[in-house]
Amino acid sequence: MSTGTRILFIEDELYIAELYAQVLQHSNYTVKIIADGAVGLQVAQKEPFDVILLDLMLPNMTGMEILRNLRDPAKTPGFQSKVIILTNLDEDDATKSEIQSMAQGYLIKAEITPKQLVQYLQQLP
Amino acid sequence: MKYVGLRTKFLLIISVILLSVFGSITVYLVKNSTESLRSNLLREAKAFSSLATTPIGDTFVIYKDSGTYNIQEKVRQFAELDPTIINISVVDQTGKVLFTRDGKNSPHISADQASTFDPIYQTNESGALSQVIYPYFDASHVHSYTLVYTVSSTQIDQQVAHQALTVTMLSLFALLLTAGFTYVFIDHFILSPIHKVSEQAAAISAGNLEQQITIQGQDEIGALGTSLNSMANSLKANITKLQELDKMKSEFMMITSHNLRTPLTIINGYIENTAMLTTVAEFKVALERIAASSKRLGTFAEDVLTISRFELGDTDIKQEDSDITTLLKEIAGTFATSAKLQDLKFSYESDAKERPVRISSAHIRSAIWNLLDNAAKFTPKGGKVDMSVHDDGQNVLIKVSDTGIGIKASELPKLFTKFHRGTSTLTYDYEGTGIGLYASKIIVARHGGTITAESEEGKGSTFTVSLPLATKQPPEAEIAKSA
Repeated sequence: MSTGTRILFIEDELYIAELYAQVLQHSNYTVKIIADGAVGLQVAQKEPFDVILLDLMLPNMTGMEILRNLRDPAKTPGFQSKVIILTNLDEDDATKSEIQSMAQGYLIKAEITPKQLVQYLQQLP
Repeated sequence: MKYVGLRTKFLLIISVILLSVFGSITVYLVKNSTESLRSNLLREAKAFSSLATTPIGDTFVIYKDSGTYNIQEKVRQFAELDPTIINISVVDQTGKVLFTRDGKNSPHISADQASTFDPIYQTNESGALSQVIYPYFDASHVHSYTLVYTVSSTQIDQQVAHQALTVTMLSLFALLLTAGFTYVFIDHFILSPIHKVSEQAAAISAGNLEQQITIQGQDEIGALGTSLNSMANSLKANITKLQELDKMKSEFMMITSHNLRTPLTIINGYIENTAMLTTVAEFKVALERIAASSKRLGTFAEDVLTISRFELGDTDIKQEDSDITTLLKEIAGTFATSAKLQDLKFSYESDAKERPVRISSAHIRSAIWNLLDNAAKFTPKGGKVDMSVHDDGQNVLIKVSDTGIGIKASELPKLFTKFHRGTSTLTYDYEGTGIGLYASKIIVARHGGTITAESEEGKGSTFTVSLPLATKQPPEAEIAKSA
């Protein structure tokens, strides 16, 4: 994916949100940050994004619930965006495999640097 | 496992016991009845011979030379009276047979026997009466002849056999009846309950801890069932407890790794980003965030260390006589500055007198700071945090209240547990998943005090710490229980 890509970043950790937004904007991505789970889902359902970066631990609605809502055609018809889970939470195997069936990626924040995130997004088809 | 069932064993034991009992009874009865039959026979033979000898002898004297028919007739009349007498003979004093009713079985009597003055009762090899030799005295009391009565042995043998068969059959019937009743009784009161308990216990040992033993009585089997039930219940409780503990531990690990990773992500990220920063202001922000994250990492590590040190029962926690009011005033002073920066109103009031209390100042400071820090974290800008200290003579009561978001009633009881991962906004928020409250709780418990929380969602929370003024080490068990 190249420049001009629209990204929705659902993340409640202010410092992390701003850190990634800084790098992504520097690489000419358009980034919208939402810090609340329930609001994040509404925005993802209303506005078109190419990629959604989704944290798992969120206030009011967890990342898993958002993901299930987005992948349910009855609740989110015609959903096209790629979803990348971006978290520091090491979920159990059952949750991980559920995530793998619904999301395009599962990244641990502590294991990648902001630059590596940009490289990862550029490689996405 | 292959084993001989209790039923078979009991059946064998019952059979052996009853067989020996009834066997002895049968043998005794048969012997007894044989004896009585024999004595009856003897008595009858005695009576018969004493009754028959004189009339038959008289008839013989009258008709010995002319009327055999008359003698036969007389003998027949008497013989009909007793079917066991199969032959009647008349012999002279030398033993010579003068008359015999049945020619084939004429008796062989010695002269001694024939000349007897007293009756002789002869028995055969098996002890049964076979012959009665009875002297006949004529009208002038002269011993002229001897009468010989042959007694049937077949008859008595048949009677004995019949008697024995009857007794044996009755015995056998009684034996079967008793065996049956005994078995039914033992089966109903012992074997069936044991079998049932054994089956249900097998189900429990196979892992079905929901299985309960049916208690059927107040006896030992009932007690066994009760014990097995309580064993299964405590096993179930232990397993459930272990499973819960295991679940809490993995959640704790998950949260701990999350809490270590997040500040590290921020620190590493901002360091990498410095290459693209241009202005001093940008650098300043990056450095501030690196510093804040580093501090957060430090606090978290400190909490984890405090918990593990206290949980390991490290008794070497340095406690000294310190003036607690001075310490609390100092903490309040530090927090006042921090609250101002966060746009929070803060008030502090105290009626506690200055007095030395035996405490670990560093730990008490961190326990109280955790409460103030939490209050600030969950109170929106413009809100209020109050701290008050009250001395009731026995305890120092330290209250920290806020006008923050509050805590759900359902979350309150879990607030001070180590592995708790809440689902509310509170615990999902920044550092909310920390273990600070648990650390505060065990520090206070180590000082013999208590910590409680009250809250109303949307209105705020109040945390109260009560520390005893007199030094009082809590028993180890209470600290363990508080985990």
